[in-house]
Amino acid sequence: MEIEIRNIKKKYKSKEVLKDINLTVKSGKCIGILGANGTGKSTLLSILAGIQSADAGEFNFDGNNLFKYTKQRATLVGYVPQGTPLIEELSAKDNLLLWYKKADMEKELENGVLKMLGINEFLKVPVSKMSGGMKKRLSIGCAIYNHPPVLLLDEPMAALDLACKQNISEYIEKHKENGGIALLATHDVLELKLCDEWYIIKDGILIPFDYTGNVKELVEKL
Amino acid sequence: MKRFLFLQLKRMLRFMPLVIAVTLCLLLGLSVFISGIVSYFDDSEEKKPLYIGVTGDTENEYMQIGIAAVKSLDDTRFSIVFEEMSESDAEKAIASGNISAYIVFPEDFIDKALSGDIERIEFVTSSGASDITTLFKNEITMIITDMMIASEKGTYGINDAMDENGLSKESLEAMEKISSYYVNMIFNRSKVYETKEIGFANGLDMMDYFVCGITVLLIFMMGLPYAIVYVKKDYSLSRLLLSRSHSCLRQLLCEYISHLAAMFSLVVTVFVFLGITKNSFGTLSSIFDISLLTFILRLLPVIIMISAFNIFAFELADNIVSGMLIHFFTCLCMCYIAGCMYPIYTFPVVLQKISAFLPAGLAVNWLSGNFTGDFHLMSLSGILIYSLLFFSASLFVRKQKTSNKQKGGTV
Repeated sequence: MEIEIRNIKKKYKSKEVLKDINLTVKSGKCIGILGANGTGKSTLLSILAGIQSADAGEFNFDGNNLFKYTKQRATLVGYVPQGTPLIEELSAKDNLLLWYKKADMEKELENGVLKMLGINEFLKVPVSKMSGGMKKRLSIGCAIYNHPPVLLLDEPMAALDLACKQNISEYIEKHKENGGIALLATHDVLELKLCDEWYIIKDGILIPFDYTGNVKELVEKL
Repeated sequence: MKRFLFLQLKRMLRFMPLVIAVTLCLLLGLSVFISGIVSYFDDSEEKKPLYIGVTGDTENEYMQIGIAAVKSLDDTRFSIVFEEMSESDAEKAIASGNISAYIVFPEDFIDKALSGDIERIEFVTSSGASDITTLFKNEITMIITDMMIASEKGTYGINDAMDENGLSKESLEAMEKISSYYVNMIFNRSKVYETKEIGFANGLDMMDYFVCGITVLLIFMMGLPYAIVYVKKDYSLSRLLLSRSHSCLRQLLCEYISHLAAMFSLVVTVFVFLGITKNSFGTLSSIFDISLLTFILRLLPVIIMISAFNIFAFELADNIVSGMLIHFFTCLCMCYIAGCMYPIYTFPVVLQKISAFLPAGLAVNWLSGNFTGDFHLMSLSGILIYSLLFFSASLFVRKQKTSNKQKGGTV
């Protein structure tokens, strides 16, 4: 399994956000995409998720351009947006039922990814009464309902406590072990440690970067 | 998307208690408001002089004397101001509320009346001016009564004069002739006029007009609490759905259908409740002179349009407070200009014309058909076009916001 991002371009009026993005990711890899605010990390992920269209380029999954095969993309690509894609007035269970069939949800809660994310603890709590961490875990639980092989995560651990970060890290590690691919738009040092390769978006292009744990060096490069 | 629709309906149910509470407050407020407006108009009808247009053949000298005489009649609590004008001017004046009614004298009315051949005077009024009709009938009756007394005096006067001049024999014949003319005139007095009603506004009387207006205002305002449900803090759910091939159109359609269902059930509940307690709502009782079911069915296109408007207003807003403010003030302005809160005839002609094309104006016009029996196809078409426009505009805004192109999106 392999994904290939080729010559992706995106312009907002006169501002060229993505000039020429190229990237190839093999099975079982997690890629960290870094960059200063407004450099185009979220734009890249939302283009790959099909929320925005690219001005040019391809997103290939094993040779098939997912920009053309949108139904295929919907099953192959799981997208976790920055915010909380949840219905505030309803409980965690109701929100999960938007994505999961009841039997599947129960199975996942018993011994699957939803259990790993610790969603059992707050299954009946309305979203409006949940903490930020609970919301994020539930958001991820909703976004990965069909175990997509490609995960696009837009700052998944932003403003979470350590326990929540641990839950999510475990899930990403497991996803990699199962041969999945993950693309992380991130600022978080802990998230960077999960990644196998790192890229910085600067001036609309992806620049490879070897992260050694030296944050100072990283900041200088951004 | 069936599950999304189901969850949207579930959301609506969760909000029902709050929405019902807000609606009850609205009903209470509007009842007070409508009572105030109606009593104001009742009082103002009593205080201001009645302006009545006089049209048709008024050239005759005796007619001028008659008009001058009636102008001075002020022995009731009203005073009447007669204004001579052409019939077309009178029609415009009654529509703009400058006069309360007008009378049309047929050709050679006085000449024919003097020869005992009475033609009918046409009395044109709006339904809301029913008091004027009664007053005018009384005035006419008074005039005829005076005529009888005067004619009797005249008959005896001529009889005495002829007797004194030695014309007793001829006077008998003359008296018979004069009496028969007078009798003809007096016995015909019930046919001296007929009343034709052209309506207060949209052909409705005041109460029916306000029922239509306030109903439209109420349905518009009923949407206000839904700001809490529909104004989105962020579009993450929309983005996630879109990434899973659930287009903005389908998302919005599910939200719209659930909102429409909630609005419709709420409106039905409110009107059935009013129907059960109609004795307590005397001012709204005229709804129940017609079939409640017919009225509710008439409301359906209005609810379709207002639900689409609600979705659009909430889609525009960035937070709940701004959503409520946008909704409240837009509804208030639209309903005011459309004459939902104040009689439309009191507005300048330009505004009256504009209001007829506004969503609320079309809704009032469409509802008025329920009382007049007219179908108002144009209003229905307008309402459906507006529904489509509001929905399309919401879709446009949703697409813009979901794809991060607007303020609030991240790069």
